[in-house]
Amino acid sequence: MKQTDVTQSVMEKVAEYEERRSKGWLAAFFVTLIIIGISITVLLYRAYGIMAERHTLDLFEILYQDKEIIEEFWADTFLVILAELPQRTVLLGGIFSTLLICVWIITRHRRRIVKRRLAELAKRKKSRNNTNASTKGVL
Amino acid sequence: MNNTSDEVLVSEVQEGSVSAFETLVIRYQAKLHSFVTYLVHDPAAAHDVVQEAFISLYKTIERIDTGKKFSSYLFSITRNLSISYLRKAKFHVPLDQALHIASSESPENDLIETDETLRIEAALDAIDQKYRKVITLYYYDNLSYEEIGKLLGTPVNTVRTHLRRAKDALKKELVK
Repeated sequence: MKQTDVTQSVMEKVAEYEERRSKGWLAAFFVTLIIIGISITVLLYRAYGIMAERHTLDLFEILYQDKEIIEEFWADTFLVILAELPQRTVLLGGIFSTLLICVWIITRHRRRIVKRRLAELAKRKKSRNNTNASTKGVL
Repeated sequence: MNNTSDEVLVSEVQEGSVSAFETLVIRYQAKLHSFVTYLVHDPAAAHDVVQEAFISLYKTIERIDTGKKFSSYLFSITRNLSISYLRKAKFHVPLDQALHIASSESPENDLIETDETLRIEAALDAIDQKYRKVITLYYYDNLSYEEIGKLLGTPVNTVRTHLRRAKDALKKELVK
């Protein structure tokens, strides 16, 4: 059995490979999320700037008015806000948000697998370190 | 986990369990080692081939269909790696053997032999791949019919037939 026992060497190589692969995948995943997140933030900031410049945001003051006034004017106000929205920016923002949700949903299964693998590898590493430490202690 | 079926262990590995893979390694390493030793006739090389087979298995395990028999897949990976090893080993001549060849042959004989070798290699290249494989394994790697059969996954009688046809085809090519 001694001659044929490849378990330890195989598992060491597998752990090394898996750690590299999983960490690489996680890095790519987070970079994608960050890029999409930054794009959404920039677009939102731009849309806010344009709306502030056009004083569109002042229209929201209707919310502080009496109930009767809100009931009478909310539809007109809403249409004005819609018309004044920077449509291209908002559309792009919508596309990026959808992309973010899609990436999150599509990678759900893969994320679970990667998480489990990394947790197992960490546990394995920890137990190996403990074994090494106790061996040193005995010696 | 020792009583769990291979297919369940494979799906566990596909779902992210590294320890399930370790169970598979423990379960199959001895069988694979005997199989590879039988094919390559070198226990030390067999050790490396088995290791390589398991690592290669891990890298491709996500593509395995759990509905199919796992051991067949593993043995076919190992068989292919053994063939690769034999192919590489064929081109490796130990130094002492090389020195012996160098000292025993005259340059003239070398030239004639090189010419013959080139002719045979060209003829080998011209024949059908399945015949070429059998000829290579039988004459270059000195494997028996049974070993070739096991390596290529074909019955011994088929190996015999292929070898006979291969020799005929080679003869025809050399006469051309």
